[in-house]
Amino acid sequence: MSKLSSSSKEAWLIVKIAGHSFALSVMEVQGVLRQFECTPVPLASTEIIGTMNLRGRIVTMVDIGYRLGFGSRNLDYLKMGVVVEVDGFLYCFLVDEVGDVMVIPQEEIHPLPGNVGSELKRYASNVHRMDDCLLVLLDTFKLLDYENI
Amino acid sequence: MDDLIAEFVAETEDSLGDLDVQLVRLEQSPDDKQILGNIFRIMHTIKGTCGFLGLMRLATVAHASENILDKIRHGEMPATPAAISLILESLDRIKSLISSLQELGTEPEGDDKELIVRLANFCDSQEAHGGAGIEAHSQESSVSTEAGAESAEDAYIPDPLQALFDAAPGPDDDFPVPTLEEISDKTEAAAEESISAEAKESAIQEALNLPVAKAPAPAAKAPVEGGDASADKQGGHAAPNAGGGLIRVNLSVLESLMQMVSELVLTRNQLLQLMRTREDEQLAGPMQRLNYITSELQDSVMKTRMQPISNAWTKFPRLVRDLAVELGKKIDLRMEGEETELDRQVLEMIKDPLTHMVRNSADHGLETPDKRRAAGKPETGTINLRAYHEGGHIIIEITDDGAGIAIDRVKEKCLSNGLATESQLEQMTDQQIVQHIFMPGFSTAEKVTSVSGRGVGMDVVRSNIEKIGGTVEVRTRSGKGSTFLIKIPLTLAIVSVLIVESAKGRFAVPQLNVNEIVRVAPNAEYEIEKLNDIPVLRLREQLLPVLYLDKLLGSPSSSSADRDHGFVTVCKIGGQRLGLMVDKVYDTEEIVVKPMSPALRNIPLYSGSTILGDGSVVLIIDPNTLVRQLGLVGEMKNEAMNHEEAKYLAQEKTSRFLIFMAADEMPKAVSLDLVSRLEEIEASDVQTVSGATVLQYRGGLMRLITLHDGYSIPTEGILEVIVFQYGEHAVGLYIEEIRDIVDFVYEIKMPSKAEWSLGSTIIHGETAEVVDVGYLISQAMFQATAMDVDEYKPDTTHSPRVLLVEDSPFFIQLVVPVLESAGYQVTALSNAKKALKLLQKEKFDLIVTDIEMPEMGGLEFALLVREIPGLEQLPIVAFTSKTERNIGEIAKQSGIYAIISKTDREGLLRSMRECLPESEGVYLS
Repeated sequence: MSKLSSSSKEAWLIVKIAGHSFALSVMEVQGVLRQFECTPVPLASTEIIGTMNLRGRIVTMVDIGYRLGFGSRNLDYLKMGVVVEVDGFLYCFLVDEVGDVMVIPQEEIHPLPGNVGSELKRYASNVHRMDDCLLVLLDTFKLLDYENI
Repeated sequence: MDDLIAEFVAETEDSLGDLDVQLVRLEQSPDDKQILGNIFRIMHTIKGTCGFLGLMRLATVAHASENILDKIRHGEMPATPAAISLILESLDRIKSLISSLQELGTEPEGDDKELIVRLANFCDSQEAHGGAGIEAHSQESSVSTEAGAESAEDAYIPDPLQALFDAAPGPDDDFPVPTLEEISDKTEAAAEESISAEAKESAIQEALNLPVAKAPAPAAKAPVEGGDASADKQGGHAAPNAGGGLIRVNLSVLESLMQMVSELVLTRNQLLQLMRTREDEQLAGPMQRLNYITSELQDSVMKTRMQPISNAWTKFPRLVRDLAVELGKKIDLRMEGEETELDRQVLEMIKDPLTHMVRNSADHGLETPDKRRAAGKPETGTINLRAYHEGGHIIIEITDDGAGIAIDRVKEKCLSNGLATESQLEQMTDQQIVQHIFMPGFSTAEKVTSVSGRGVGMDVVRSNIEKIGGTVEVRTRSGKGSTFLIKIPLTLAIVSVLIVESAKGRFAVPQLNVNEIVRVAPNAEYEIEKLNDIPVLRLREQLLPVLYLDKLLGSPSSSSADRDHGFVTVCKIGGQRLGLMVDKVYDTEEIVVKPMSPALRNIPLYSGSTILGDGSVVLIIDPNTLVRQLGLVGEMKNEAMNHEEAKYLAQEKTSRFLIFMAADEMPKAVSLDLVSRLEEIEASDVQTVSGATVLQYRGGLMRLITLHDGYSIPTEGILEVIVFQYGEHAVGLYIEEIRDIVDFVYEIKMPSKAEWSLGSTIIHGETAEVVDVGYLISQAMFQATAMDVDEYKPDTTHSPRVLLVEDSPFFIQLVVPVLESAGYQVTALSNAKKALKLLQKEKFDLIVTDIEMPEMGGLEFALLVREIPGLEQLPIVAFTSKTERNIGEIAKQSGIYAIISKTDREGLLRSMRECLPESEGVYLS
């Protein structure tokens, strides 16, 4: 998105999903939840776990791992939530673990290698090479672009 | 200056709305000085303000029309429709100027010479007629007549401008009365004689107040009602001061205030919920206070958003007047409940639908004076607008006393537009049929006028009303008129909902749609009945289709026994009633509707979500989706019916039925025409002969049957038996009790699964199953011929195909099983025209037709069949219920093989066998 070009440095929140490391831009992140109760929504698509009330606002809980092609996993693994706000609506991405915030300079952001899965390509376009692994930089807007899903 | 213009636009829009109303009133009572005074004052204010703000185009147009008004006021000119039309036209010009002023901030380019010349000429011509008074009359008008529009501008503008500037004091200055009088001398010499000192003063003071002190809406203060105007005079200076407490507030400020109060209400509800579970004396006091203040605050904020519905109605008198002129009709518009208040947002959303419906009533609803006279009605048609509160909602009725909606035309339209099939329509009441006018692509107007009837319309009206959670329905009586009923919520911000539980979750159903809640359980007062697998609830003479919420939610279905325990919320959604089955019903709650997240918007069942008092999130069920779901079920049902159209053909014919009890708790019905006798028989007379139950009857043996096997015939006492006789065969049906004999319109409400049943119907509020006598007889025949039913399988590939044409569904039901059991493949049709069509396409070996049928009789039909190529020799057998002497002769002429009495079943079968080629082996020889 435009954020990448406008600032040379950007902060990313590192999360673990199904054992893999991903990063979400902190610009949209509103907070992190360590426990939550949610109300299921019948008829909703598989990745929608339910809704919850966060200080008077309704949050839609999304199993982000499902979206990224890891399948529907036992909710016991999804211990933490990252709340993001897009277009005035709140969503909570359920993840295994929330890590640190990391500032990544523009020059260390590289395009996604060609050999990754197609789900991943839809929702991410860049990676950052870390010492031990490759960090996929997720695009929050694409993840929540329900008009085109 | 921009602020001033913005304010001017807002105020003038209000005044213009008033002017429309007042002018139409003036036309109706041209001598009413009060109304005239009001109009003059409003127009004058507009003119004065425009001049002050340098809006020259507006000022000139306003000035030119004011001249005409002035003359009318002085009695120099009558308030003719022509004069009013001209003034209305200039009002329209002013409106269009104002709207571009609003957009651009300045007056648009262009000039209004043409209009002004016409206004001036009109003024002139009337003056010539009026004769005297030209000299004495105002300076401006004589200038404008002589020199045309341009000089009118020059002559007029500087004068009031100068006067206003001279007179305009600083904001803190008082307005000394002498100064005002001076201004009035200068600006409006002509006004002096007739307008009262107070009225004149207030008009001018308003004009002055506006730019200087930013007083709001002087026009709004200008009295609308005649009564108010007189009060003003008595009260002297009351009018100018009355609006002193008003300020204009930006809408977005109000909106966000409302939003916050809504949230506060929710938080308060949450707190209250918490308080209930703990006993904290210290907290209770402040909590109660918070509760009280929040409620008060909510009320106050709601009030700021409330506006009387008359705000949406102000343009209607003008609209109806113009329509009346355009359509050549006489229309009286009446309004009731104008003071009914509703939320500003709701008001905005219903303006357009209402306008459309008023247009519709004027155009489609009301007839021309000629037609009305011919129908014995007064020439002037009435459109009645009525608004009132009912149970937290606003009801708006639009009634006309016109011709009503032609049900037949609606039906035609439905068929031609494919909105419904014929059999679907046959199942519907007129009330249901007429609701189709709200379907997309529907318009009954034969003539497309400029007013309405372009195929867009009522469906848009409905969708707009549904958007705000409202419903609309129509009631119509032929020749008497139609009523449109709109039910809308008071406000969109806070909605009352019923919380229900289903599939282990809680959901909200808008209270607007809920009529009542019925507890159901098997064998209780109310229970879910299944008719052809469609669950229904019988509630006061009506069969309500029932939807299971858990099924709609796609939850893994609980056991069917559980399903029938619970609560049915009876909903009414736009004329359609249905029951929604839920597991539990909690409470009603006031909720703030929150928009659905985009992630969930694709689910049509929900219209939004909300947070309840206990903090949990619930989804709001969209009632309109329920109706659509019902539509699907209904179509499935109708498909099943189409499949055996002839068998289930329901016709609006009154028949006499015998109601009796047998086999189970549900009353049974059988057409009395098919019953030969009712007998009481000693149980001891019943014998069992080679596995069949028979009894001695009139010197022979008669088969005695029951509705289904395993339902045993008592061996003692007196037995009630219904005897059916066909030809030589008589069959007795053992029953428990004769209930009644009733006349009613035979209509199968729900098909049934039981073989002996044609389906169920409602007779005087009771569900009864209609017995298929044809089936019983054919069953009895099988057994009588000692044929093993299981072994008998008709060879359908070789059995002759018979086309049965018969208008009476009963006879079809009677004959088809007999023919089928005799080894024929039967296709039954209810009328000859359909049969002719089918004969073009399909090959039959034999036709069996009734002689007496509406539209086309059997004899005519037979002749037409002969004209179809290849069918010259097709055997035709006919039956009749009349016995005529020359029947053989008639048969010969029509090329019919035989005409047989309807009661002679054996004769029918014999003739059929005879006329078919012998190679076609037929059972029952």
